[in-house]
Amino acid sequence: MASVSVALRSSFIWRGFHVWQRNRDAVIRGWKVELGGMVIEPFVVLAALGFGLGAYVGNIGDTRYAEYLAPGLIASYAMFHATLDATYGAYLRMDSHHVYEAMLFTPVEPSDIVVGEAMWGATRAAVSSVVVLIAASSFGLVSSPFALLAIPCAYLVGLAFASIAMVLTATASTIGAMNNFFTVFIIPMFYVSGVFFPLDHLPESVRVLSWALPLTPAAALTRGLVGGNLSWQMLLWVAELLAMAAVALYVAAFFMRRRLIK
Amino acid sequence: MTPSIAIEANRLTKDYSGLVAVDSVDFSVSKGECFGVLGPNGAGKTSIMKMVCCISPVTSGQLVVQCMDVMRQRRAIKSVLGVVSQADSLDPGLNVMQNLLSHARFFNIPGTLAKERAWAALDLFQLREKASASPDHLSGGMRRRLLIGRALLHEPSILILDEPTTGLDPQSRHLVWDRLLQLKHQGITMLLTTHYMDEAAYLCDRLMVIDLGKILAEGTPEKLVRTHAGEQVVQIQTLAPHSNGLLEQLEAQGLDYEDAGDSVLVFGDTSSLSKSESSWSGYHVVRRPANLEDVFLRLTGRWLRD
Repeated sequence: MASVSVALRSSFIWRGFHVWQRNRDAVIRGWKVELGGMVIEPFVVLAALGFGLGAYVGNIGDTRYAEYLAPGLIASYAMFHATLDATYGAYLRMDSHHVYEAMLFTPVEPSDIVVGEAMWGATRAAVSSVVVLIAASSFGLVSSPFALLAIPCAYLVGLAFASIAMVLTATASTIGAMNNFFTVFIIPMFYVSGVFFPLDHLPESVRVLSWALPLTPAAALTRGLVGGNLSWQMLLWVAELLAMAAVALYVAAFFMRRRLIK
Repeated sequence: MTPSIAIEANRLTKDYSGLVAVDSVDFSVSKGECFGVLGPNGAGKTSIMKMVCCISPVTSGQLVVQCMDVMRQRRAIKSVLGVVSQADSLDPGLNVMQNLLSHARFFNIPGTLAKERAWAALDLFQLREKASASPDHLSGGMRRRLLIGRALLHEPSILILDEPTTGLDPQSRHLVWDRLLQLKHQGITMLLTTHYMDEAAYLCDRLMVIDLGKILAEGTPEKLVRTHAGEQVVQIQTLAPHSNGLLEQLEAQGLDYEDAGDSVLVFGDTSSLSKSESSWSGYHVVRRPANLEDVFLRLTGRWLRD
């Protein structure tokens, strides 16, 4: 046990964890600012789209529209929370608040910062999934106990998106670059990743592209868990998200070093 | 490199794609010594500091901190350094106490010990009642004291101070100086940059004056004053242009002088200056002991840098 603890304490995960702790402390200190929007929004969106729009849509297959939508929302909230924090949030910490600068005067290195920020984005994603799950079950949209696995799944989704976002943060020359990332990448993906409707009727090319983007496997994985319909394919999606996170972390760490150590 | 040396630079060079900020510099800092780096803006002081702190790669030459190479053993070096940077890097998202505890975590200091040391640091720098305040609500002097306290949490063996008292009022400056002297007596090594010559004279055992990336002079403050400015200075207020052939007279007497625009400075020992008094009769004259500022201005010139 002791050697495991020593190994852990000298690993990048542990050093990243200290960066994670810094962000946790800052959020707990200002929790009132964060909480309102995070809690209220999922209830409103589920009610409006799930039941308001859902009344016109009817069923998708033999699933009520609100039930179809809920897991998609869990995945997309995970995406938004992780991405927002690892773009605007991280850029602010790096550029305006000089948080990274102070960290670099300690044994922390740029790669640790990237890992810590990605872990933090993932945590925010997991927390958001708890809120959406509560909202969904309060509307009677959750039946399987496997739905609880949507929380670690949201962590994984958040890890992938936060890692990708850190590549942008490490390379952006102004905070305005984040706007483009949202308008060109995140928002369009949000509409063609099976969150709101199945992809069956989309052109072949859009469908292929969609499965290569992270939100489509994320939504499918979450939907399988929340509905309790497990399949072997889910392992493939987990691997896909893990691979995206790993590659993005590696690239982000490279650019972050180049940006901070000069 | 002998174990009694804390920092050693050999032909240390920093080239920012064509702009040579540090140009083949050699120096060494002994353990327990306070070593000052003086120079005008853009002289290369901060570049040297950054390389020592392992946040800026060495372009060429060698830089060794406690027998470790800055290019290869970054984490190990950074864990023995305490850094007070020029830019204020307190975390605005955390309160004063959290700033200290978060910093301590980066050094893997266990929680209870970190708390103990954080309170001790707040006491040492008279900040105890500010523990739960936001750094944004601290005065400049308090922020600087907190930065120094934060740099000491992991009990570093080398303290890096980049202009530690710039912008402070005299009260805060003296508190900082007292604490730094205490630390020096405890045996901590210090590498200090400053624009204040009184600070350098007060704290430094040895210092070097650099400009444009090169070392101009190096030694104890006393030795530098003696070598480059002598014992006394006669400051003659001439309100240029110099009439009456004052400069020619000084030249003829073989005196060491410097034309500083609105005044002329004459350097020398007490007796030789007394003998030449007649040369500046009729002018408004201030006679004072030579100091480091004279050395600094003589070595680096009076032209503005930015």
